[in-house]
Amino acid sequence: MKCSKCGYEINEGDKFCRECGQVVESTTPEKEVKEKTKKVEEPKEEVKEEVKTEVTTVTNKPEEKRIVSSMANDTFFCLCSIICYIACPLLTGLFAYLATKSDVFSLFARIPMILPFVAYALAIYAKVKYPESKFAKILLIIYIVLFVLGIILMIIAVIACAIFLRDCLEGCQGLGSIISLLFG
Amino acid sequence: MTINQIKFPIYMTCIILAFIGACVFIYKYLMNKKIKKKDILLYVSMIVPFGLLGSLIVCYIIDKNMGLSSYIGCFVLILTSIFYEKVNPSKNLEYVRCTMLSMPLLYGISKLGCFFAGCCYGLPYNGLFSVTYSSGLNIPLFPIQLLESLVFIGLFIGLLFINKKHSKNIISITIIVCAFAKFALDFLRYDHLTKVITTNQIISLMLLFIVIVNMIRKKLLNK
Repeated sequence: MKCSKCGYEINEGDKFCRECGQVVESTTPEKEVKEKTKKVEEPKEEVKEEVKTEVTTVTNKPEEKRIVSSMANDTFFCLCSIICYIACPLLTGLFAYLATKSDVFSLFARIPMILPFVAYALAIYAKVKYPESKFAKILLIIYIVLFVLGIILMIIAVIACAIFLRDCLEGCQGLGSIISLLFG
Repeated sequence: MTINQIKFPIYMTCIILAFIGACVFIYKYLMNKKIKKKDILLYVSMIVPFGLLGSLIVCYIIDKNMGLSSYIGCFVLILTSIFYEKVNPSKNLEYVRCTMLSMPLLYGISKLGCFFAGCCYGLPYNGLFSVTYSSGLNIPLFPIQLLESLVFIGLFIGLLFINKKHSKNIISITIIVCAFAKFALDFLRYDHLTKVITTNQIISLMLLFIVIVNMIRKKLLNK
């Protein structure tokens, strides 16, 4: 072997040239080490892949359980929302009927009017906590459509009242009198 | 308001315009804070039914008389913003902040409706800009509704500037400023002929007390 700088004859195993001091590139042992480490690394990667596949197969089952439980939760909130919405007119009617029998129930007759807002709040909660839930999305759309329809009907009633009756809107309680006109 | 012998629901129109204005402001504010459009639209969809119908229903439950009360509407909107903040939290309570900031705008525009409808009127007054409601008292009155509208819209603009510099304390500053303005302006209302202090003023004083005590407590805790 010769030195790459001065061409002086170098013995095998020498790290420096005895003539000029140039470092001898000992490629062969390093190359062998690199190749060996590559070979060692490849099986490790294969093992890692195997471990990964095992891990994914093992954890899929808890993920499935989580998906199923989240669907059950959002269905629960949506059903509670629907129950609150339906309960409002039923309870209002019930307490109004009972109020005719006893004055105590007249106080309770007004409280169920909060229930549609509770229903809407529950639907919003379900939509935010479970964004993928189609049930919550559809329920929200239905509530918004019902609200908009209610506003449109109220505006039509106000306009009809103003044109035909001419005196159903008076003072600061105008809005309240419209609503009391609509709902008795 | 009568136009061509047809009574026009100006009060309801002003209330609806007030809510539209508040919703537009809330939408723009939250878009600037880079909150997702879906979340903003969901929140705005709560503001109108909860703010408008919610306050009507609560008034009806408490008073058996369906009308709109400023403080009840304010509390319902704040509760709505706190609920949404709990369900879908944002950085620095942005939903609560923007709702608080929109309150003076909402109140200012809705007071125009009161001016045209002839309710919440002021003390008897013969001077400049006095108003006579022929369907009501039929005496010249102070246009307190116009003054409240101007003051609160001005406060809204001022608070927007303050928010740029002191955004940390903007909720407390808004409550203090609006409660103080409401307390002071209430002295010019017709109710003060028969009362020393009105319900609105008592609520304003309570709010001022709670917020100021809270601010002092936070400063002492920080020290």
